Parts: sequence; structure tokens; C-alpha cells
Amino acid sequence: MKIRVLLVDDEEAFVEPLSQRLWMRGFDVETVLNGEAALETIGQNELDVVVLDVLMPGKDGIETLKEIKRMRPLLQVIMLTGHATVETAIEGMKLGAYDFLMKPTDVEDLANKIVEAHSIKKDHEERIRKAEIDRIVQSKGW
Amino acid sequence: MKKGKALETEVAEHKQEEIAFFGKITAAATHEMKNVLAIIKETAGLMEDLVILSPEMPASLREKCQSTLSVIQNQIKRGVDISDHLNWFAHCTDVPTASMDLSTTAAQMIHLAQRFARLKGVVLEVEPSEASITVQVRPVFLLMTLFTCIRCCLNALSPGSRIVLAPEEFDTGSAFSFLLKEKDARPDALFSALSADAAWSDLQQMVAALEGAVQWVPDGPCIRLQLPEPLA
Repeated sequence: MKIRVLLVDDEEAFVEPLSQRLWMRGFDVETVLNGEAALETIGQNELDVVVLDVLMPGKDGIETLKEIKRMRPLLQVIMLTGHATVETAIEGMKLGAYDFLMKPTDVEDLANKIVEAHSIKKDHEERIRKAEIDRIVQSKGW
Repeated sequence: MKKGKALETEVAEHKQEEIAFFGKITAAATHEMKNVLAIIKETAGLMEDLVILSPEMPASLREKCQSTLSVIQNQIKRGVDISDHLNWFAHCTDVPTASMDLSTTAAQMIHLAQRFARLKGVVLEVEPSEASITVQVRPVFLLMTLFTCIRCCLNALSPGSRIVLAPEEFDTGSAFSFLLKEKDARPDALFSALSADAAWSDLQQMVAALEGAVQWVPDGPCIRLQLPEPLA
């Protein structure tokens, strides 16, 4: 199954070519242009990785990240930042973001980070599944 | 009506506010420039991907497209580099005084002054220090001082020469050494040319204002800007 990616950035002219390039590399990509739309999409869809711009009008990257982690703790977030916002991206990592990349990104670096982030998510899901199976086995006394 | 010290303080505060405002606007502009470069990079990258995925395209046309797109990508890298250094420079205005790392400052200054050196046909290089050396200074003033020294060197050196900027640490403090590498140069003639430059006395005054000193070291030869004691 393809890795499901949500790309969040207020620059449509940036999001469009990047989403097509990620699609060409085998990812299932959705795009939105602000934090509110990102949260709505996350609430309605199963996703694996969110690529999130730090500086956006309206709900900024950090606020959006906090909401994402509250709604879907296992969903992995990669922050995109310009030079003025590296400290914000570090704050984002403290709040649970998987990593951050500087803009302009190299698409291959981004693709690699998405794959790594997805593998972390899969690993967490697997461990939770095993723990739940153990719990059921113990509760049934099998 | 304000007099004497009060007026001086007010003028200094306004000057700092003006510098900080200039820096804030410049930093914001560099951020926007990076967004523009990111859009160009992704759009050019998409075109590269499409060229690769178009087997029907004649080989000669494909090569031409790829070499053109590679020129665009190289210029994007150049633009990002300039934007990063300009952003660092703009943020130097954030606070009146700051603790500055000498190696970082030297590397940034070399990039910022590169165009001036290129126009004179002189190569500007940095030799970073292995140890972290920091000084508490007025960032913009330190950069102005370094730039003034580079300007003096550029005026005195002939095309094809090299200036190597090296931060150093001594028992008595820290310094920026400007090693001057000119073919067949005589240190005494070089010093005469340097000290005759109009900017040389400006440099002396600026370094003195930083509580440092300018030293000419014929063995090298180099100009050494001695700075206050490094911070622990």
C-alpha cells in the first residue's frame, strides 16, 4: 500500500509541483493550504505522514502540530522551515514532530524522511497491536 | 529641550531602532526570497522529472532540457546561499550587543564581502578555528570593522592575491588575522600601501571603539585585529 502523505503549505505554487513529484515517487499525496484544512482532512482520512510548513497565516505550524498530535498521536509530522524559523521547528520536534527540513528541500531527502517517518509509525502501530493481543490473551487466561 | 547626555542617549536609541528595523525588514524579505526559490526549485524539479519520464522525447532535446534545468538548479543553490547569508546578517541587528562566535562571523563575512573581492580579482578565504572563540560585541559594528579591514586589503593588494581570514585565540585575548598572500610582495611596501589608504585610520578608530587594537605583523604578512578577552 502506498504511503499516504498530507502536504500543508500556504504557497499553492510550491505545494502543487512538490505533490506531483512525490506522487511520481510512489506516494499517495493530498494537499491543503492552511492548518484548519489540514485538521479537517486528518479528521476525515487515514494518513501516514504530514509535511507541515512552520509559518502559515491563520493557524500556524506549531498550533496545527499540537492539534494533530492530540487527534492522532501516531501520525508522523515533518516540519518545513525557512531560516527564520529553525527554532520553531526545534520546538516542534519537542512537541512530537518526527523531523524538520529547510526550504527549499531536496525532493529525495523529503521522500527518504517520509519513508523513515512511515516506518516509525508502522513500528508503533505494530507494538500497540502486540500489546493489545497480549492484554486480550492475559484477560482470557489463554 | 533635551541637552547633552540625554540627547545623546536618545539619538543612540533611535539609531539602534533604525538598524533593528532595517534588519527586521531585510530578514523578512530573505524569508520570502527563499519561498520564491523553493517554488522555482520544485517547478524546475517537476520539469526534470517529466523529461526523464518522457521516452518519446528526442535524446538531443532531452539533453538540452536537462542541461538548462541544471543551470536553473545551480542558480537556485546560489540564491539560497546568498539569502541565508543575508538573513544571518539581518539578524545581527536584533540586539545591540551579543556573544559572537569568531569562526561563524569570519565565514559569514567572507561570503558577504565576496562580491567586492571578486570585482578586484582577489580571493577571499576563511581558515576556521578549531576551538570555539566568542566575544561580547556590538555585532553590526564588528562586521563593519571586518569589512573596513577587507576594504583596506583589497585596495592595497594586486589582482590574483589572496586574503585568508583566520580567527585566533591568545593568552591575552582573541583576534581576527588577515593573512595577505600576494605574489612577490614585500611586506614593507604592502604596509605602506595599506597605511596610505583612507580607510586605514577608520579601521584604527573602529577597532579602538571595540576596545581592541590593530597590529601589523610583517612576518606573514598579516593584519591582526585584537579583540577584548574571549568569554569563558
